[in-house]
Amino acid sequence: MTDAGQPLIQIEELTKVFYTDEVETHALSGVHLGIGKGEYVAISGPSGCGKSTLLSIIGLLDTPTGGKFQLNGEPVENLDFGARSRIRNREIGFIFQSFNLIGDLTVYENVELPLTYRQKMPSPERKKRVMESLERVGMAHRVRHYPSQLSGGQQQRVAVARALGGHPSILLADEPTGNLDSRNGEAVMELLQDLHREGATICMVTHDPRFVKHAQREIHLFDGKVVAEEELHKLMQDVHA
Amino acid sequence: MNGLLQDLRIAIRGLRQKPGFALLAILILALGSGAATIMFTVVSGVVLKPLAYPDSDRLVAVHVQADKFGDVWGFSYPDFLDCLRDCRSFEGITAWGYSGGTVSAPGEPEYVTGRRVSSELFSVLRIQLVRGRSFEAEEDQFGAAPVVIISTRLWQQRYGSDPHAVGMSLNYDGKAYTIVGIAPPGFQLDGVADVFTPLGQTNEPRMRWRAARFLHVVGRLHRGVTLAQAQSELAVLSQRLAKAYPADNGGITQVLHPLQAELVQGVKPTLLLLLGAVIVVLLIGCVNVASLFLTRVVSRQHEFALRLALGAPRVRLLRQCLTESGALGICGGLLGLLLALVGTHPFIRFWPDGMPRVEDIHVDWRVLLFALSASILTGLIFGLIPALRANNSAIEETLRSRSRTIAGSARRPLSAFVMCQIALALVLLSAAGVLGRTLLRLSSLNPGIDIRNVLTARVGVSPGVLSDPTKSRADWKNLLEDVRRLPPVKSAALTDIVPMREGENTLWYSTTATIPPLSQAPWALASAVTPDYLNVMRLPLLRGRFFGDNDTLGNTQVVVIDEKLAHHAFGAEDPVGKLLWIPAMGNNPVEVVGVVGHVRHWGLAGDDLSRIQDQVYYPLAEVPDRLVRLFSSIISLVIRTDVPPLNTIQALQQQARGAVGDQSLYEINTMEQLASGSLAQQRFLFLLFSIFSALALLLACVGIYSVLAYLMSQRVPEIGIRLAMGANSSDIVRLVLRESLVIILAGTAIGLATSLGTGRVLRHLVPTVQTSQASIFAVILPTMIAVALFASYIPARRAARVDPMVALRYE
Ligand SMILES: Nc1ncnc2c1ncn2[C@@H]1O[C@H](COP(=O)(O)OP(=O)(O)O)[C@@H](O)[C@H]1O
Ligand SMILES: [Mg+2]
Repeated sequence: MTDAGQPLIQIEELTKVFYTDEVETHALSGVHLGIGKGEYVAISGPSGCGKSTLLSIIGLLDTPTGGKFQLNGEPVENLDFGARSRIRNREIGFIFQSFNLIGDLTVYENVELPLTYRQKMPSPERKKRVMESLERVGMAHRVRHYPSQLSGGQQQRVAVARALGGHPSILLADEPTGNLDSRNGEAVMELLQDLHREGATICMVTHDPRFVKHAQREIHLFDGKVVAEEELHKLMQDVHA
Repeated sequence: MNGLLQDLRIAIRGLRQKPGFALLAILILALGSGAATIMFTVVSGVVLKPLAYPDSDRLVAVHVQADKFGDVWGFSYPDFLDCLRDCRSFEGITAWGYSGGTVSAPGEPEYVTGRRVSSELFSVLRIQLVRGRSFEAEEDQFGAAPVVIISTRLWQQRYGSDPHAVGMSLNYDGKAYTIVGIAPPGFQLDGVADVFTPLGQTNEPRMRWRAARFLHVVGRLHRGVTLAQAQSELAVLSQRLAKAYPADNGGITQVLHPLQAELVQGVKPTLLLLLGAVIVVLLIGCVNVASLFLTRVVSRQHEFALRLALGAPRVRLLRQCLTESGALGICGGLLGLLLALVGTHPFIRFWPDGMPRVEDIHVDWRVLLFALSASILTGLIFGLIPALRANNSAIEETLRSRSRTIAGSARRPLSAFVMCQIALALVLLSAAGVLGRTLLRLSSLNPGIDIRNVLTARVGVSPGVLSDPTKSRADWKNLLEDVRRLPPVKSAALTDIVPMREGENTLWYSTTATIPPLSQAPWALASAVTPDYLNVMRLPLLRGRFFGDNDTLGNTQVVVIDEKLAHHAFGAEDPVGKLLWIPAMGNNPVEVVGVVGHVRHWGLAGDDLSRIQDQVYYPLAEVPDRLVRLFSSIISLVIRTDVPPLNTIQALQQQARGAVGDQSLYEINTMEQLASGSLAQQRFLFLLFSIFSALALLLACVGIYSVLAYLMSQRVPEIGIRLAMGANSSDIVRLVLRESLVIILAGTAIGLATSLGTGRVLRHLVPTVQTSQASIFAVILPTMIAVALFASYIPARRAARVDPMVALRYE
């Protein structure tokens, strides 16, 4: 954690509004958030509070409606499509709840995918990185398999390997255990923890309190806003009352 | 039955929900089956249906064939008479020849086409006359009283359909004829004719020559007599004639063919070619609709799986698919039939130089059957494949699968469909290419004359001068002088035949006084012309001179030959001053005074295919008196103008009316029209093939587009993942294009291989096609691939615009 002082992600006053059929949904309404290099942050909160939306914006999959967002000190909220996909490819590694492997590609090809979108990476280098990542998640013996031939836990490990291959600045995981049984879920969580220990920056969405404790820091979202833990409990009680 | 109704209701509801899909499918099917039905209507009427004459399968056409060259000619009158007297195979046999003349009373003078027919014609064909009777055998003889049978058209026009017209008089060719009968409406004998006269009355020397083979002969075989039996009897007769008249009949055999095959042999290859092309279009349409259907079924796989899981028998699902596609197929078929009903007659009118047996073309039960089976088959093809697929697919897997990418197994049949469409479109495109190249090559051929600013017209010579050769010759001379007086006319000439127009005059020649038998001698095309013909046509004069005003009867007979005859007869020697023996021009030799360039007389396309290549010109003034009447009836005026020649027609007609004002010009054409007309068949084929292949290409593009669009819609989640992994739009476009390129290339390869085969068929059916396909592929392959890639670009572009957020939320 050499650059712990310098924030990797700096978000201020971030808002996101969805317009559907003349209905405005304020998914995020003024979020402040900083994530330093090497940090492991968990985002939690009730369903529909905007966790996925926040993660997508951090991952440059989506653009905010308002506010500031700096990645590595560079403002990224107003970049065009091409620039965003370039940054996404280099800086971001995604891990999805439903794995999102491509069914027609082998394990190897799935992991290789982000690297193929990176220009000028020589193929020996690519191969080295793919194998490294697969070995890292313990899936190197399954390179020729197709996703449908793997168990859910194995698929998610391949997905982690895919996220690692590009050596991203940050891993973004949206409920990575949501589709897994608890044993497999634990295994993936341990894998993430190991990666964090080795220096990876991780931002994970989860509402499973067992896994929140893995993280160094927990951020609570409620109705599109970041709230303190005590405040959250109070709010939740209000809701149930 | 109840279930079927329910299926139908479900099918209609399903189609109503996707009106675009249903409309597209019906439209494609209607176009395909409509075009196929039109072509089949024509093929059925012209080729398949028996002739409209009773017991027409017993009608045969008889020709003579030269053993040495295999040429097929008509009959001479003496040969016909021998055949008529001696052949036992025939119940009846008849001969006819072309004629025509001016009808001058009752009514205004008008040139009409006629036929000279032997008295047996109507009984052999078993044609009932509307009124009156056929010719008697005694009337079919030289010197008999002039009698005539007229067409219904003439009867209506000149006699107001008077029921008592039989027995009245018709002034034809300067002679009063008595009407004995009226032919049924629409009666044709190689085209329409208005006046039928007894062949035997013809007062022409060629009626007595065995070598003058200008008659068509049709026979009706006795019941039970086979073609082979009749043929062997004719062979015996031929041998006897050859022995009796070695000079004229040596090496010549009489042969017969079924009349029907004979009548349609000119258009049959073209028709079959077009039918084939149209069926390919129909096939592409079917495959197109099949792939549309497959995309529908695949996207409903979940629904089907659910139904099966809930206990629906597989047969029900199959039936539901078939009901839907069957409904579409029948709709498309009915619309196609409608299209055929309105489209057939415009199509026939569009056919160059007239289609034989037009009167037999109707939408009849065969066509109905064809349209019906085409649409039912289409329905089956495109309904069954998806239905079977739905049946085969592992239902449990479909239900269980959380995989959000479409499995390869569904992609494969879709890709195969696209490949088929591309391959078929390529086959048509290459055929169109071959025909286009051929047309281009033929159009650029040098006709041998300067076709610009030349007008040609047949002359209906004043009936009053016909019987007197001296008067006729004076009339010819006056005509030329009258015409030359018109300011735009630069030069004018008379000729018996006009290049690239119907009508020919062939004779045989020898370079020695001992003339070989007819079947061994070389043949030449002969034209009798006035001296200015050289200037009107701008024939290149290669050696010697052309004719002058002194080259008339009484002096040495002179001829001018073309370069081909010069080469064949005299090799490298200078032909000027050499002698030729031409039996048709008398016993004395004729002197060659000049050599001109070869003219593509048989048309730009046909000339190379004609066996008679040699050409000879002789002065019209050398025509002997006994032939003057014949020449008067076939003579044509050709003029060169210094303005667009069509503008001079009126003045010309005015000027050519002759001393008594009863002379007329008809069949007026510019030389350019004739030249372009000689390619009409080629142009027509090319045009239709272009339309068909454009249609095929369009359909193939629609197919590529819809299949790719569908595949892409199935792959939205995958594209979302790729975008999340940092792919940018060009990566996605490239991904889609690469996949479609594989399909396109595979389809192209199949199409290429098939085209090589069809190219051979094309060369076989259209003899003027010689082009190698390599140069054509060099053009159409890149075009095809580019167009197909463009069709894929639209869905690719759309895939690249997918919002990754939306794509990833697809769960
Ligand atoms: N594309 C969208 N269009 C409209 N509303 C959306 C869209 N995405 C998310 N929302 C809404 O925004 C809010 C936050 O959603 P989300 O970030 O997915 O919540 P979480 O992941 O915390 O369950 C929800 O009310 C959701 O309905
Ligand atoms: Mg969520």
